[in-house]
Amino acid sequence: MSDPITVVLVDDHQMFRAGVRTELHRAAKAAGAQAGAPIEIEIVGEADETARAVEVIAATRPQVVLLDVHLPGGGGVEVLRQTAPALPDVRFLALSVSDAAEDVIAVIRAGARGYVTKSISGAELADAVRRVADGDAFFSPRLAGFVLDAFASGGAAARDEELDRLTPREREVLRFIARGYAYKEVARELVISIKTVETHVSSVLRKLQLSNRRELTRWASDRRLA
Amino acid sequence: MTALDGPSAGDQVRALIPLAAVVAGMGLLLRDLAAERRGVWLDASGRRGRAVDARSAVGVLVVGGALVRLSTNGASLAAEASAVIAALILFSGGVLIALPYALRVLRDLDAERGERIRAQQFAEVAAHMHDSVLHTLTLIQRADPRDVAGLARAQERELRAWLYDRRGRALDATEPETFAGAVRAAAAEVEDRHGVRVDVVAVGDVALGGALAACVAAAREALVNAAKYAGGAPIAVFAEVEMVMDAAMVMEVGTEAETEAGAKFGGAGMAARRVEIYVRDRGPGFDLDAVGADRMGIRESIVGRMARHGGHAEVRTAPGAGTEVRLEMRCE
Repeated sequence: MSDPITVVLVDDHQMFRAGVRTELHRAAKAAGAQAGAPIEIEIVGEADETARAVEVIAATRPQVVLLDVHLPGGGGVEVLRQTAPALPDVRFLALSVSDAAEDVIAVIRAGARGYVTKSISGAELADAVRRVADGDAFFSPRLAGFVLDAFASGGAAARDEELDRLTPREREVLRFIARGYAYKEVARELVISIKTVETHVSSVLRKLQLSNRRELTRWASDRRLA
Repeated sequence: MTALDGPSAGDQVRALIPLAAVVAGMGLLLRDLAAERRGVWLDASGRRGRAVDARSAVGVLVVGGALVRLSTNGASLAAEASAVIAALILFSGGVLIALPYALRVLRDLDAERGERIRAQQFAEVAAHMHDSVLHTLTLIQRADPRDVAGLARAQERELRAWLYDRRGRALDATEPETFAGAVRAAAAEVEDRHGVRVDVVAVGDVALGGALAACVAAAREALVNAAKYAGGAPIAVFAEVEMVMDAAMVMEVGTEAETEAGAKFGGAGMAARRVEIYVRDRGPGFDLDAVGADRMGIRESIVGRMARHGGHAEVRTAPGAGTEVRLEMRCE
């Protein structure tokens, strides 16, 4: 039995934190019963606002931070800004009820390794936590949709640098994720290994975070007015 | 009588009258400014506004008249010049005195306008919350427990549309005008009618034309099937509008007709749009070959409908593997 994955839960709603704790526990147990080698997920800290989150993350140094996008005192982007540079081993997974593309893209560009909506099931959330703890990225269907939209070849593709484009294979992988396929199913459909799917998703995440195309930010903020 | 010899007592009184008029006119104007400030707090009606305008006009007339009177007070050119200079100095002095006050009034006005806009926005949000959220919460307390999930789902959808998608406000009021909007509306309808969750991810958008409406109708049919047979599991819908480049279109399709179509829309290199909808459920799935010839749902409402409008439909399913319906159509 391997060591449990340590998680800090940052969300301003106590009810929600309680729910996530229960579901993660249950999901980890269920997965463990199936696989025979349970990977426990242990919540080592909780915070309900930005400054407190920064403190708790620095004190507990978890493997994964489940980070709400909207928080009193600055929000997820601010938590990332204050903790991510100093703690490179801590990985952040954005977990939000928000549907606004600019919220999601902002937190990803600030360094989060993925984004899931709060309607995600316990099992999927546990899976996402494990992936992020392993160093992979995790895209929910909605995030895949946002990314496809943001990187859509809007005609001026010729002048874009390599970072500002998705390869056809990356697009293909993202489209499957947007259609609701799990990584395992994407691998089967494209006859590639899960590892390759993970590599594609990680490279898309890297492009999202490093891409300096101005349109990406503007695209996200324009979405509200569209 | 010359002004240069030093003013007599009578001249001094004569000079004081227009001065008094200037002061009175200024007072009138400033009073109006102050009144306008108060008007923010009172209910500023149109009639009140006109009264303020009239008083301002009277004030301007009084000040102007007094200045003219001052300037024509003396007879000689020198007296006139000095009178004009005196009037100008008087005027600038008045402006200097009034300026800080006027600026403060303007600042207050600005702050109050901001306050009013905030109040209006709050009222709008409050009205929406009352119409939707509060109303639903009341319903939930009285509703049959089986309906609660449906009510909550519908309310969540509406609130999301309102918060994140300005287009969404027209969701239930009028017919959607765009492709993505129509897909969302169809998903919402199925969600409400069949009590399942439908997650929609839409990429790109385009105005809704005749053939696209058929495409959305086919998707709706696929959604209804999924809702009926998938055992209540969430349904995933992915709708994408993609620009297809000339060259890519010719390469992919290659037929002469399509090449012509490509040339027709060409020019900037952008030719056509490809629209795709995927409706996927994780239900039990079924054996497509075993579906009876009399069952028209898939054959007519989905595959046939798409074919009639120049599109294409595919159903991928197998027992135990869920079902995915793929719809594709090209449009200019």
